[in-house]
Amino acid sequence: MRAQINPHFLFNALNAVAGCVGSRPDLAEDTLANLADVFRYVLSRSDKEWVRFSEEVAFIRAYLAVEQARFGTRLQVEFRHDEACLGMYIPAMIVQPLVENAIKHGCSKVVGIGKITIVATAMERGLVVTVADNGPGFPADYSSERSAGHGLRNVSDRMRGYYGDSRSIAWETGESGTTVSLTIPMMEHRECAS
Amino acid sequence: MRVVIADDEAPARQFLRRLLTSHNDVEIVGEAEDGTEVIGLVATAKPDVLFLDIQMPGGNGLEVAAGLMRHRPAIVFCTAYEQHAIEAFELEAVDYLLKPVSRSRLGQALDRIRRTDPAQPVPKAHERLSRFLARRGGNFVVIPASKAAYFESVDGLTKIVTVTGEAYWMDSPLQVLEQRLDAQRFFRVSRNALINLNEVAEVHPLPGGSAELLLRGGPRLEVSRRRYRSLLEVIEKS
Repeated sequence: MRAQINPHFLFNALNAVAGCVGSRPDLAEDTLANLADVFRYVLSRSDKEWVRFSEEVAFIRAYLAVEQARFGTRLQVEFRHDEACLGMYIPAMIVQPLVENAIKHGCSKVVGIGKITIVATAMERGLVVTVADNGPGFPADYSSERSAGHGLRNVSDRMRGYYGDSRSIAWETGESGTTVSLTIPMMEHRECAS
Repeated sequence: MRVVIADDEAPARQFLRRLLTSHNDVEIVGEAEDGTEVIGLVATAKPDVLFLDIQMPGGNGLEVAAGLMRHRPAIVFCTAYEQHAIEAFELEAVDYLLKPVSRSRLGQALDRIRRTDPAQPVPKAHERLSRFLARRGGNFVVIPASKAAYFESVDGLTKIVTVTGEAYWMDSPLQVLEQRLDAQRFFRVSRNALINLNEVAEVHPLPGGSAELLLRGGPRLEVSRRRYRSLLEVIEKS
């Protein structure tokens, strides 16, 4: 089971580039470069399933930059991480679906300013990544089991595949926002290479 | 033609605006960024055409289209998502454009609008409404027709009360609702009220030939003398 990027991300990004190419050509150029980085990462990941967290961070920053070109000042991003996290090995694209969800189901539903806050902390039990948004929260009837294909389900299945445990994902959701936290166990590089 | 562009993403609005400027008969009369704003803008600017994004905060494009009744422009959906096309046409959209749209495809959509009679895009009476967009505070919610207990006209607005007793407001006059709702199920009991027949619990005749209705959830409504007899007939038939 592998993560995938939502194809609408590409169409919306191309539409945003088309929109700013005349008035803000610099933003259009940057967005194309970021889009290329995003897809380079997505397409190359198959032969490199484990990545350093620093690579995932660069990918998520490019992804967020594209989303910010679409939403402009309506999307506020905060991204913090410990230096100690950067060398840790994680499955590629394990954090991105949480970011995509937070924007698609959270920030983009906010009338006014949508905020996404991503915090990565190196802890004894592993790398803890929290992704918080100020969106309307999960629907009242939400269940990760029933909504197959949903981003959280995908991440949780992949976590089970890699670590034999899917309990590493937890969330809190309410009318004023959602916070999802993912705990990625510490792995030695040689374990990952196998 | 007078056009409103509705999209929550500024570059998307800008792109459409630029493509539209090469059409001399198009005048952009307004832009909106969320569902609530679209409804307000359509009511005030009364455009001929609405370019409508689907994924928007404050009421998505499909909900907005379902709720526009008093002034209904020709609707062209504009979205990155293919999967809503069927629903869009059920809502009588003139066209469905996929982002990013090309100049030629946009030109086709405009030609399609130019060919239609501008006086025509009022919803057809035989098209049944199966859901409404109603407002409570700053929020819009979609209410399926089956969940509506009754509609009441209050000070020029329409109040919709659901089977669970929640009240919302909408812009559609009772007369339009009556025409577009299933007549087997919804009945105009007076000048001010339209009820869901499935919700009738008791009918109390009053002196003088009118009556009072008790609905399941507890509300009481007056039945006018003129409507009382046909109400009894409809209830007996159903």
